[in-house]
Amino acid sequence: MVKLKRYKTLLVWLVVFGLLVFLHGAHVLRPVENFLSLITKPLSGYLYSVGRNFNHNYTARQNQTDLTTRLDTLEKQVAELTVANANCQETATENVKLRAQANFLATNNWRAVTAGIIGQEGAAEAGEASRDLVINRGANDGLRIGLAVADPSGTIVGKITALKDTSARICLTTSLGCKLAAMVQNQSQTQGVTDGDLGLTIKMNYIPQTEKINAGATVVTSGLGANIPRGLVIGRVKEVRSESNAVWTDATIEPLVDFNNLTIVSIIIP
Amino acid sequence: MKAALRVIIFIFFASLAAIGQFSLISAWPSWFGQINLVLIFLIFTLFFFGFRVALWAAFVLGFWLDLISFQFFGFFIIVLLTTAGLAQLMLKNWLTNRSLYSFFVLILAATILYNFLVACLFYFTAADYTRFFLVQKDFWLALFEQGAWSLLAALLSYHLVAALNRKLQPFFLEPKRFS
Repeated sequence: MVKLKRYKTLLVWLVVFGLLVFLHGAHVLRPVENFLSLITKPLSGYLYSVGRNFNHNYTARQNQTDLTTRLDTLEKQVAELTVANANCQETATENVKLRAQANFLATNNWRAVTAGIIGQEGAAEAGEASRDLVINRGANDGLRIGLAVADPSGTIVGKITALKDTSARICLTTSLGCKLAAMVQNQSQTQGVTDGDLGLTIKMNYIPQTEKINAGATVVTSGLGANIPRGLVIGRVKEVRSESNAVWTDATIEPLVDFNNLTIVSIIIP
Repeated sequence: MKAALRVIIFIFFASLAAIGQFSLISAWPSWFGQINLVLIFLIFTLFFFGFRVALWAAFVLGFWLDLISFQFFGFFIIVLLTTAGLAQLMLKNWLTNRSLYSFFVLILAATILYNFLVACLFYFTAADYTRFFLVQKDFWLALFEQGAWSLLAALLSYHLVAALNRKLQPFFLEPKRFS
């Protein structure tokens, strides 16, 4: 009896905890949980954007020392891009007309849901390599696991990996384990699979040795993955690595998105 | 009435700490992003307000983190309650005085415990058995950074409370002088 009294507090806590887990599992607490999520989402979104501004300013100061070197490199690139841009303008004009005619989204029955980023999640031991983002839209907004997530310019930033009623978790294309079926925009439309690399770049693996890929080529989604439409830009090829005795080649892809400044995304629902 | 107000304020600050940890601190650059506000709040509560209040803190903090994170429900409640319990054992058996150095030791030990528990649970639930956390460089780096921030937070909060309250011991225990 004395021993029971001594452990009474512990027992009470265990019972309360067990009851909470049971009620959560039986979805009895769901209306309460959804209400609490609803009232905290605006605060989370605001705090996240404040945090990101701080991050941006801090990173800008750190990068100042590298700017001079980078400037020289960029000036050379600008010259090359100006020529390429002239060619692109012609294609873009034609593209606008074709898109207007084709009515791209309507023909494919796509719609996009806009969402705000409210937090980050990931294991500390994974470091920056596998930090996932949490957005303020969930199953109640028609989302499902595997859908593509794009930034405002239409470049894919990741895909949905977990879902709650009012929020979802997305893995970034640079996160380890975030795989996408991809295609290089070259003559042979080389297929492969992209995966994140150290949270900084993207690797494209399983490229046949016989395929010719040039640095600078654009990589897009191939449409072979479920729920992710074809043609979403993933990045540009930075480097191709091949060994003569290996079956596959792999390429490093530089993402076109600045993940540090991401606060609003669109989820594409095909 | 006063007690009810104190409870409301306590729950408010605990909730703010949890949401701030998830949304604000996670958005900061890597070094600043290792501040563990939740753990600092928990150990601060344990050291200055006692075990019972710390249990409530662990519960409220864990509940909010479980609500907004995508780990299984109960993940953070288990981790925080266990950390509070083990920290209390240390406080009761070894760190019996209330000096700054005991606060340092307590918060450092709690940081190590917390990170180990989170990493263990994460490892077994993520089913990614190829990357054991003990051999990951990032785990140890994150632990070191969190430990540094925890010590800094301990220093600041201890001096703040010591300035307001005379119950605390000085940094080093001074031996009694017999005249």
